[in-house]
Amino acid sequence: MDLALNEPTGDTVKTTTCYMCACRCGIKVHLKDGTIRYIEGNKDHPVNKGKLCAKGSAGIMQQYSPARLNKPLRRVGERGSGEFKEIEWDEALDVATGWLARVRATDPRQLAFFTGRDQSQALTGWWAKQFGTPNYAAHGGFCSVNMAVAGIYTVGSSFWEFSEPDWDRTKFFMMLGVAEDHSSNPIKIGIGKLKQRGAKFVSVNPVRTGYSAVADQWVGIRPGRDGLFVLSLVHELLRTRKIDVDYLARYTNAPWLVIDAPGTEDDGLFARNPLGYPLVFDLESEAIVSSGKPVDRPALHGNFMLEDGRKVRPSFELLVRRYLDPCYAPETVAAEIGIDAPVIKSLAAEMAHAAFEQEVVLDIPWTDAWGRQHEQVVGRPVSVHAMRGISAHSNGFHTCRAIHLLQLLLGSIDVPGGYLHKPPYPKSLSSLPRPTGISEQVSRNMPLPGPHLGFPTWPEHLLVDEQGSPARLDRAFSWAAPLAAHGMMHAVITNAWARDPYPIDTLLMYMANMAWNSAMNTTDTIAMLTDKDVRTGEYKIPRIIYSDAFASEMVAYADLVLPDTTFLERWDCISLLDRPISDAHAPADAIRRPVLAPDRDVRPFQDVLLDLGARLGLEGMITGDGKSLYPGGYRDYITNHQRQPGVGSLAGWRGGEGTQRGKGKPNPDQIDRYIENGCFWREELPPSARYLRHANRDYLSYAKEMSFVGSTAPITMNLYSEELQRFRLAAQGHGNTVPPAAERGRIETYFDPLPFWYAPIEETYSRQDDYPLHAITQRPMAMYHSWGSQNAWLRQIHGQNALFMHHDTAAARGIADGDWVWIKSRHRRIKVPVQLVDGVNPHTVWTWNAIGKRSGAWNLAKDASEAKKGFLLNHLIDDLLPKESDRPAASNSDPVTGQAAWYDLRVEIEKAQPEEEAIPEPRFPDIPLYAGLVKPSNELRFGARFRSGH
Amino acid sequence: MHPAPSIIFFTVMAGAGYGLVIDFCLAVLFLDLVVEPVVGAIIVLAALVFAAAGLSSSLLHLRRPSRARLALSQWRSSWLSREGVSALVTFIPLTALLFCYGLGVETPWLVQAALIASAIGALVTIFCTAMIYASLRSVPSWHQPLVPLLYLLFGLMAGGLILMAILALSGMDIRTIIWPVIAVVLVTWVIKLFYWRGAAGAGLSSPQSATGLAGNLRPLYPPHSEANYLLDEMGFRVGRKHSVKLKRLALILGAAIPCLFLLLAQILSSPGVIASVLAILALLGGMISIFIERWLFFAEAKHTVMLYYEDALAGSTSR
Amino acid sequence: MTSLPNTPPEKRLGLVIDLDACVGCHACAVACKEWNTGGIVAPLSDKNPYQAEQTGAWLNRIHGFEAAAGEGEIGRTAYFPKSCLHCEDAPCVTVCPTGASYKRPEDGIVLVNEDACMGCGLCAWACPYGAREMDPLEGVMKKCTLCVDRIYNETLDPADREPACVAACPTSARHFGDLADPQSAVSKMVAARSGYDLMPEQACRPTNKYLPVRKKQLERMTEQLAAGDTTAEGFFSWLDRALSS
Ligand SMILES: Nc1nc2c(c(=O)[nH]1)N[C@H]1C(S)=C(S)[C@@H](COP(=O)(O)OP(=O)(O)OC[C@H]3O[C@@H](n4cnc5c(=O)[nH]c(N)nc54)[C@H](O)[C@@H]3O)O[C@H]1N2
Ligand SMILES: Nc1nc2c(c(=O)[nH]1)N[C@H]1C(S)=C(S)[C@@H](COP(=O)(O)OP(=O)(O)OC[C@H]3O[C@@H](n4cnc5c(=O)[nH]c(N)nc54)[C@H](O)[C@@H]3O)O[C@H]1N2
Ligand code: SF4
Ligand code: SF4
Ligand code: SF4
Ligand code: SF4
Ligand code: SF4
Ligand SMILES: [Mo]
Repeated sequence: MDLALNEPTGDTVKTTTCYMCACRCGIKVHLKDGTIRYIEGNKDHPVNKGKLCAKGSAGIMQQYSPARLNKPLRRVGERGSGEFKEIEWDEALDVATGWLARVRATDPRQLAFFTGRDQSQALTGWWAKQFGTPNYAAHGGFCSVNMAVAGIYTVGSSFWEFSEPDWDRTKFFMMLGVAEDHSSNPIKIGIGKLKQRGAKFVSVNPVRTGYSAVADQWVGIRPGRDGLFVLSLVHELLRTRKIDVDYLARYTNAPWLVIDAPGTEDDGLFARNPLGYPLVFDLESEAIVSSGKPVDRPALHGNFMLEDGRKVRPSFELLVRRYLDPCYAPETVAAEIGIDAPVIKSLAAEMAHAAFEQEVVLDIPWTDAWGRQHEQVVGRPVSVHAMRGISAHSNGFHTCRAIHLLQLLLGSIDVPGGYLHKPPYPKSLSSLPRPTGISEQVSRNMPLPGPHLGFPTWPEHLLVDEQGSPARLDRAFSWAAPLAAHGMMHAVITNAWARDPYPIDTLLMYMANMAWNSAMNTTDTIAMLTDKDVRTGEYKIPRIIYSDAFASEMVAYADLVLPDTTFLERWDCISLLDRPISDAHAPADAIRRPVLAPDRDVRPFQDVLLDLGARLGLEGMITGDGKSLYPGGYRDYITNHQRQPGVGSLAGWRGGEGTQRGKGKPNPDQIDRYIENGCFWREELPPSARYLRHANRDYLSYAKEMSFVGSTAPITMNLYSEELQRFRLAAQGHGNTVPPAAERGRIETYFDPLPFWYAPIEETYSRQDDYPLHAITQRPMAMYHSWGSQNAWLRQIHGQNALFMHHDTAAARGIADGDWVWIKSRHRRIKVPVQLVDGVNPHTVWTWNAIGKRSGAWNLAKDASEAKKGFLLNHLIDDLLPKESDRPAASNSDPVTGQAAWYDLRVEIEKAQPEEEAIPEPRFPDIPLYAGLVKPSNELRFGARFRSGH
Repeated sequence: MHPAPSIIFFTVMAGAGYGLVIDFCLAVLFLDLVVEPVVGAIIVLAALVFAAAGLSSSLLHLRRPSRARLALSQWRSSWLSREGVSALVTFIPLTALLFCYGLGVETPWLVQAALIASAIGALVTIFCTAMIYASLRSVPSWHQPLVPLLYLLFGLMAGGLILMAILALSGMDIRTIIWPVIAVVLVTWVIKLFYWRGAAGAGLSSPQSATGLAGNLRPLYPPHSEANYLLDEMGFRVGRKHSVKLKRLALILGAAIPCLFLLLAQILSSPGVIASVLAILALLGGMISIFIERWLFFAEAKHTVMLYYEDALAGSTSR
Repeated sequence: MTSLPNTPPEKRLGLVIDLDACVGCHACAVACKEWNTGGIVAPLSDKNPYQAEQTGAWLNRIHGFEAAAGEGEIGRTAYFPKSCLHCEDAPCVTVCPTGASYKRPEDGIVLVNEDACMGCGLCAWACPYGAREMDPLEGVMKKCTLCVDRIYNETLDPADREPACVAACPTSARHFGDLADPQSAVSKMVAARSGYDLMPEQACRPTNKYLPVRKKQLERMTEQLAAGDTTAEGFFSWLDRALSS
C-alpha cells in the first residue's frame, strides 16, 4: 500500500493558550488552508508539557460550533423569549454607552458588572474601578473563595491554582474533594509521577471516580465532614507527638502570645510592642521579646504576664488544648464522618511516618530572612491538595484552615515533598489590598479610589455604612460575609431583583451562564430575570447587557448581546496581576493570540470594554483630548498599560529593549517576544530561592524586586488567626465598627480564631429525618460546565447524566437501576433517571455537573439528549437560607467568606410513579434559534478535506 | 447481534435456492425422480431466483455496494469471499442445466454432470455461508460445527419444500419424496433444538479476561452516553420470553405444519389441487419458520464486545 | 491482501496501557479523533452532531468498570481504554473479503485500505474487542491506525513521532514502542509489571499489552499509634523536651 505517511500536519503552526477550561495549557494550533487541522499540547509549555486534555483536543469543534453568535443582538420580544434582531456594532455600542453614561452620571452603584469564566480580571476589575461602581466581581464567590481566603489568611497562598504538591518528591499525597480542578493537566501529570515513583496516594471523596479510582486508598467520607476528619488527624498527630516543633516555632505564629482577658477589647489578640510586633517568650533569656528578631527557643506553652499585668499565653497552647480534646478522637468522630477510627489513625500514622521517618534532605544552601545560612533544606514529604469538595460547603473556610493547620503541624508547607507556593505567592496579609466601595468612595463620574476586592483584616475594612448595611449589591464585605474576597456573584440577581440592599439600573455580565448552571436556584433566578414591577411595568432588573460567544441559556435574558470571539480569535493575557500560570519554582505568565480571524461580525469583549471605556471617557482609557488611549484594543493595552510605574500586564521582556522582567517600561515588541517564545514567559528561580519562601531571603528579595511583595520581611504563617478574633471581638461589642444586633451571634460563632467544625448550615433546616441524603455534583473531565455541550465530540461522551446512587440506598427505597425518581430538597423537587453504583458513600447521591441543557439552547436540536435526558441539580439548591425571626434570609453561603454552599444540599429520593413520563423535570419553554444562527446539518465530516489525494 | 433483514433474507433465500439444487440432484440420483424438461427448468430457475434474490439482498447490507466485486478476490483467507466465488461459480453449471432443460437437451451425461456440479457448488456455497459465521470466535454461539450443519439442513429443508411445491403444482406425484423431506425437517429441528439448548453457553471470554481486571466486574461508565456503531451492530437483545415464544412458533410453523400437511398429502391424495395446496402451505410454514430461526440466530448471538458494555445496556435508559 | 504475513513481522509496534494510572479522562480518545479525522483515514465523521442520538466514528474509547466489594476484596473503579490491539493473528484481516483489511509485514500494524472497503462490517464482527467502527457517513471501516501517519512522519519533529493518544495522555498511562524487541522500553515495562493480553482465549495474539492495576496499598500503621496521651500537660512536657533538643 502506498500511504501518505509524510504529510505535513498543516501549512502553518501557531502557538497560543488553550481556553477550553481555566487550566491555560500551551497549545500549538496547526492550520491548513486557513482551517484548523490539529491542536496539540506545546511540549515546551510549563503548564501542560505537551499534554492535552479531552476538552483541549476538542477545541476545533468549539471553533466551528454552530452555536457561535454572529452579530450584536437587541431584544425585540419579551425578555426570556429569545427573540432578537441583529444590529450593527455602532448601534450596540451607542446603546450601551447611553445606558452606562446615565448610570455613571447619576449613581455609579447602579451598574453591577459581574464576570464568570473571566481570565482577564485584571482588565475587567480595573475597568469597573475606573467606571466607579463598587459592584464588580468575578465568579470566585461561588467557585472556591473558601480555599483562597483560608489559604491567604493562614499560609499566604492557597490551594486552587496558587500552590501545588511537590509531585517529584512527595511520599504521601492526600487529595480531598477534588474531581478535576483548574490544574487539569498538571494534576494528572503529577499523579502520573506518583504512580511512577510508587508514592502513596489517598483520595478523600464521597465518590470513587477519576482520581479516586487510581488512588491507593479511597476514603469515602460523608460530605461536609472533612473538617472533623482533618481535626481528628490533628488530634492524632498531637496525641502521638508527631509534629515539627522547630518549624512551628520558626515560621508560624505558634509562639506568639495571646492576651487572655475575657470581656476586654484585646482578649484573644496578640500582645504587641509599640511598633506593632507581636511578642513571644524567649526561653533562653526568660523574657518576653519581640518576634521581630529570631528567637531560637520561644515558649510554645505557659502562662506569662505582660508588664501591664495582662495575662498572655502562646497561641500554640490554645491550639493544643483545643485539639487534644477527646471530642476530636477518631473513635468519637468516626460515626459522624463515616470513616472507621482505625482508618483515621492509620492515615495519621502514615503521614507522620512519611514526614518524620522519610524526610527529604536537599543539599541546597540558602539564607533565611534573618540572614542565617543553612546548608540544607529539610522536606517533610507529605502533601495535600483540596478543592471544591471542601470549599463548596458553608463550613469550607474553617475546614480549609484545618487542612492548612495539619500541613503546618507537619512542617510541610513550602518544603521539598510538601505543598509548594506558586509565585507571586506567598503574600502577607498586610501587603494585600483592602476592599473599596463604601459610599464615600463612590462618586458620580469618578473612578473608585481603590480595588473592589481585598482582604479585610479589621472590621473597619468592611464595606458597610454606620448602620452596618452593605455598600455592595452582593453584600460582600458586609457583616453577612465579611471576608468575601471574591464577591458574591450568586447573590447578584436575587438582590437586584429584590432591590435589596438597593435597586440597580444595569446588569452587565460576561461569560457566565447565570440563567442556568451557574445560578443556585435556577428556576427562581429565571423568574427574577423576567419579573416586572406591577406598577411601572418595567423589569425589576431594568437593563441587562451580556457578552457571550455562544447561544447559551443566558443570552435569552439579555436586552443587548455583545457577541464575543472564540478564544482562538483574540488577544488575551494571563497575568501575574490576576491568575498567572506560574509553577512552584518559576513565575510565569502567558498570552493568547488570534490564530484565526473571526468570520463573523463579533468583537473581543476586551476590545469592546476598552472602546466603551473610551466612549464613556473613563480615566486611563482616554488621552488628554478625549481620544481612545488604546486604539489598538486589548493588544495595545496589554503592551502599554501600567498598573504602577513599570508594572504592567505581562512580566516578561519589559523595558525599552525588552531586557527587563517584572518591572520595566512598556516594550512595544513585548508581544512579539512572547510569540517567539511560544506565547509564555517563565523564569526559573535559583535553587536557593525555591523553598521556605515565606522566610527565604533570596526569594523575598526577588519577590520584592518583581513587586510580588511589598517588603522582604518574613511572612509568618497563621495557625491562630488574630484577624478572625478581631471580628469576633466586634461581635462582642468592642470597637467602633460592630455588627448589627441580628448578626452578632453569627459573627461571634463563626469568627473563631482556630479552625473548628460545624455541620453545614443547611442541615439546620434540612433535617436528617426528612432529607437524609447529601446531593453533590462532580465535574466530568471531558466536559467544561455548560459550554462543552455545543461541542460535537464532547457531547458524544457526556450527552446526558443520571443520578448516581448506592445500591443499598436505592434498595432501601425500592428503586432499581434505570428508574426515574423525584429528588426532593426543602426547596423544590426534580425528576431524574437513576443509575446504581457501588463506589459512593451510601449517604450520598451525585451527578455530573451542568450536562442538562435547556431545550433549544446552544443551537442543539430541541430533542437533544441534554434536554430530554440530562438534568441540572441547581434547581434544588436554594440560594437563601430560610428566614429567621430576627434577621433577613441569609445567603446559602459560608458565613465567613460568602462562598456559595452548593454541596450542603440535603435531599430525599422517591420513585416516580409508573404513569409519569420518563423525562426530566422541571421543564421550560424551548429557546428559539437566536437571530443570525443557522440550524446545523446532521452530518459532520470534519477533516475530510485534509485527506491527501481527496 | 443486530438481526439485519438484508442478511437474514440473504442467508435464508440463498440457502433455500442452493438447498433446492442439492435436493433436486439427490432426488434425481437416488430417488429416481424424473421430471419433464419444463419442470426441470422451473426447478432450476427457482433455485437461481432464490439464490440471486439472496445474493442481491446481501448487497443491501453493504455500505459501498459498488465495490462488491472486490469481494471475490480474497478466497484464500475469507469465507465471505469464498462464499461469493462459489455462489457465482455455481451459477455456471446451474445455467448450463437451465439451458439443458430449457432447450430440451437430452444428453443424460451432460444433464447429470451439470446437476452434480451444481449440487456440489451449492453444497460448498452453503458451507461457505455458514462458515462466515461459524468462523467467528468472537460470537461463541456461532463458533461451532453445528452451525454449518444447520445451515445445510435448513437449506435442504427449504429446498425440499420448494421442490415439493413445484412438483405438486406441476401435477406430479410427490409421494415418493415426502418421507425423505419429512425426515430432513425433523432432523433439522432436532438439531436446532440441540443448538438452542447449548447456544446460551457463555463462551470462552468473560469481563475479567476482556479487561484483565479482577473481581465481580460491571461495566458502569460507557465510553459515550449515546449508542454507537458497536452497540447498534452487536448490542441487540431479545427478551427471554419473547425468544421462547418465537421458538415455539418456529417449531409449529416449521416442523409441525410441514410434517402434518405432507403427511396429509401422503395419505389423502393423488396429484391434484389438494396436494398442491398442502405442499404450498407446508412450504409457507417452513419458510416463515426459517426466517424466524434465522432472526433468532442473529438476535440471540452474543458478541464478546458486549462484555465491555453489558450492564450499561441492561441497566438503564440513561447513561 | 487479507492473508496474514507469512513470516512474523520483525517489528511489532503497539501500545502499552497502564490501567493503574488511567483516570478515565478521555484525553487520548479525543486526541485520537482529532488527529485521525484529518489524517490518512479522514474523516472520522459524526452523525447527528448537534441533534438527538449523536454518534460518530472513534478509534479509541474509554470504558469505566466497577468491581463490587467482596470477601477480602475492596470495591474498585477502574478505567479501561480500548483501541485496536494490532493482533498477530488478526481475524479481522483474514475475514475481509475484499482485501481492504491488511496487516503490514514490516511493523505489524493492521490497517484498512478504504478504497477497497465495501462496508460489509464483517471485520468488525470478527474482532472480539470491538476495535473497528464503520464510519457512519463514509460507509467504510475505520480503526486505529497506530497513527502510522505520525510515527514515520518525517515532517514531524522526531519527538512528536508518536501516536496522538500517547502524546496527549496526561498521566502517561499510554506508551508506544516495539514489542518484538525485548530491549525496548515498552517490552521492559511489560516484563516488569506483568503486562498481559486481553482475551488470550480468543487466540488473536494481540500486540498491545495492558499493565494491571497495582494492589491497593492499604497497610495499616496502627502499631505506631500506641504512644501518646491526650492530656495537655503530658503533651507540654514532651514539647519542652522536643524544643530543647
Ligand atoms: N450544581 C452545581 N452548580 C455549579 C457548580 C457545581 O459544582 N455544581 N460549580 C459552580 C462553579 S465553581 C462555577 S465556576 C460555575 C461555572 O458556571 P459558568 O460561569 O456559567 O460557566 P460556563 O457554563 O462554562 O460558561 C459561562 C458562559 O461563558 C460563555 N463563553 C464561553 N466562551 C466564551 C468566550 O470566549 N467569550 C464569552 N464572552 N463567553 C464565552 C459560555 O457560552 C457560557 O454561556 O458553575 C457553578 N455552578
Ligand atoms: N473538565 C473540567 N475541568 C474543570 C471544570 C469543568 O467544568 N470541567 N471546572 C473548573 C472550575 S470552575 C472549578 S471551580 C474546578 C473545580 O474542580 P473540583 O474541585 O475538582 O470540582 P468538583 O467537580 O466540584 O469536585 C468536587 C469533588 O469533591 C467531592 N466532594 C463533594 N463534597 C465533598 C465533601 O464534603 N468532602 C470531600 N472530601 N469531597 C467532597 C465531589 O465528589 C467531587 O469529586 O474545576 C475546574 N476544572
Ligand atoms: S486542561 Fe485541557 S481544556 Fe484546560 S487549558 Fe489545558 S488543554 Fe485546555
Ligand atoms: S484488535 Fe480487533 S481490529 Fe485490531 S487487529 Fe485485533 S482483531 Fe483486528
Ligand atoms: S468492512 Fe471493509 S475492511 Fe471490513 S471486512 Fe468488509 S470490506 Fe473488509
Ligand atoms: S494510536 Fe493513533 S489511531 Fe490508535 S488509538 Fe492512538 S491515537 Fe488513535
Ligand atoms: S488519556 Fe490516559 S488517563 Fe486519560 S483516559 Fe486515556 S489512557 Fe486514561
Ligand atoms: Mo469554578
